[in-house]
Amino acid sequence: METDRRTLLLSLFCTALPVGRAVAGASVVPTFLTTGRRDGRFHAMALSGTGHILGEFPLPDRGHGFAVSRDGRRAVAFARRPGRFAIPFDPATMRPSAPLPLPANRHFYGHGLFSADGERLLTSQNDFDAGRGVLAVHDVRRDHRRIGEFATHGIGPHECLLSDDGRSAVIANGGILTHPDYPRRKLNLDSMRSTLVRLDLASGDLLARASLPPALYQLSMRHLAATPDGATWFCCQHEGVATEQPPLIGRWDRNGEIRLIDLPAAVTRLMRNYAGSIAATPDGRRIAVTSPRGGIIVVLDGRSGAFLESISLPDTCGIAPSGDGFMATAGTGTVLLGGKTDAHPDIAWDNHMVTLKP
Amino acid sequence: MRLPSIFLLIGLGVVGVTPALADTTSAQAVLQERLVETILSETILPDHAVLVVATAEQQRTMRAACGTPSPETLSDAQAAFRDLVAAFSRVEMYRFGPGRQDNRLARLNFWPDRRGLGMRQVRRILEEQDQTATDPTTLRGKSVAVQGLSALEQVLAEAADGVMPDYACRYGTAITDVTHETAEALLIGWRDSQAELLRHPGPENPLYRDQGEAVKALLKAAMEQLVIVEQQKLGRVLRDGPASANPLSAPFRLSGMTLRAVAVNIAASRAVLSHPDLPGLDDPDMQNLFRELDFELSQSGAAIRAALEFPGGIAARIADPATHDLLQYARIPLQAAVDLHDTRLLPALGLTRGFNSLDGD
Repeated sequence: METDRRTLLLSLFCTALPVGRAVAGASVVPTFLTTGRRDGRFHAMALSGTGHILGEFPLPDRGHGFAVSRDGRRAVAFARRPGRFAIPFDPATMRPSAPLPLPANRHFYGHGLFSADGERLLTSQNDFDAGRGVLAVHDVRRDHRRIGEFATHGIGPHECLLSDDGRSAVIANGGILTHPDYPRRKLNLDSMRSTLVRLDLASGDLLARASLPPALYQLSMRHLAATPDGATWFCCQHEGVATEQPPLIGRWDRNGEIRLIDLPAAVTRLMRNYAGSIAATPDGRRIAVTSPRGGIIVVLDGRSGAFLESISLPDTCGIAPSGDGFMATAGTGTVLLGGKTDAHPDIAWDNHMVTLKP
Repeated sequence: MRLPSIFLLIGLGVVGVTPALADTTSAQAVLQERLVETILSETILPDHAVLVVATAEQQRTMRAACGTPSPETLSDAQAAFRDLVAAFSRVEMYRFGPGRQDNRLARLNFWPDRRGLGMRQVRRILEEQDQTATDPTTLRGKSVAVQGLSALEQVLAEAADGVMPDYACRYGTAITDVTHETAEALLIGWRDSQAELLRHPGPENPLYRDQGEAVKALLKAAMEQLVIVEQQKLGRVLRDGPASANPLSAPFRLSGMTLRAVAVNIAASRAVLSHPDLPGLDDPDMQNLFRELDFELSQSGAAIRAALEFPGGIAARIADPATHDLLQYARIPLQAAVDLHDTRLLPALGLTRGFNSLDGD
């Protein structure tokens, strides 16, 4: 049994073959993008398939997520909400270009996506005076000029994903009303409602919407991962009473049904009502969810939703697919990959990490 | 570096799930346990009991002001309101556990009311004389913005010539009933449930695995309250100077309680964070650290008390350059206290602040 467990872990957190193009001046090509804090300053960083830092550039403040074009040639690093910067860059050189323009009455929510052809960049934003979420549309070839926006039909849009066919996007409206005048205060916990929506990327039309049962109105769906069967997996944070501890992971099927995943009670308890990031292997057979408060990574079977494993990693949050498994990072500086941990005690790794696609 | 053995031993299923516990010395663990007990028994539980008394007194004086209208009975109800604001300001920081359940904290006081939504809802109720708002049962079913202290403050401001109008009386009385019920539920929740969870951490505890997590939850509440006071209750009101100051965003502006409530917020945080005279505390470094925290928070409180010497409400006070300066100064020690907590108090207690554990990301 010992061998089996070990084999499973090694397969889930295996070392990926390097993909992408070489970082200027480096001998290894980048596989992952992430952000982190070092010496009190924040950086966007490119990592090799073995977790080594290949390149980086400074960020004005704490970063959060990335948008990456399908060809892997363009990426954007976003500020942590309610931040106001989003910096395009070339992952091969880690050379940043001019930040995205942003109206005074908007802020970013830390995530975005590129259209399938890479010509448009869409970013989740807060129209905070109106208290509504928008997906702003930017023209990549014209200095990322803002050329419009779509309503996300909800409050607090967070992570958004491009569909396989490139025609639509799935957006998680976390449902929590915030305003930059009251940093990190949640202004509508008594009446919040989170939704998942699918928007047509040509028209902005609402194609589908899903929400959780009314009893779970304080469960905020925020982070997403897509699988090849057309499902969207999501993970949540619970804003209700701490002892309630509802399921934090779910799956939105192609047919529009939402299914929440029941975990063993001890695992749910350890997650402390907060899942920070979710990732799927390219074949969709494994789903991994991090819980920084509980300091654990939960691994599920992507077809059945069955619980497979939970792994202790204090303050973990960043997770991304790596071959048939995952790489994970933690605020303590630890990188978990290939069945080994690598310590970077001078770095606090941030919430998210993405795998570059060749 | 190879994985720690526990990582390799975790198997399928729940067996072997091991939490990541803080690396704490035995002396730190003893101090953590003592702090939790002290904060509970000397601050949280008594403060919630005082809130129940204050809500009961508000009920009594409101009924008297409405049953026997006179300037004296109205004055008693207004004085009871000021005491109630002070009592609430002692427990305002506990936005988790019983305060989160049934949205009790928001039900007790709806703030921030960023776009004046709550004020407009209360105004509409008063203008339309909505009879369902005069019954505590149906009032509870309405928006939390119309059934707590901010609503009651607006209702009390309806008084003219020393008496309350009839409808305002009935609506106000229903608010005091709801508020009292909510305060009682809060006290029971803390006494019978939350306090026990904090006192008895462990693997079976649904919230706290060890004393470190328990004490960190309490310290975090106090720290967040200081940040809210510094940035939102003072910073957003004061802005850059008297010319740009914004008294309209000040909480409890109508009753003239803005700065008193802020002073109580700081005092309540101080009671959670600073324990220089904790019995049995013989570590001089720890005593000094608590004294430093105590000093910073006392400086801030003293500046706010000095600002209260200037006559008038918050608008008049922040229009006065010297008083505005005093209040700006009061923010600095609050920032210092937050820094002390993050950089020295948590490490001294064997605790760390998770980089990725904040809300909402």
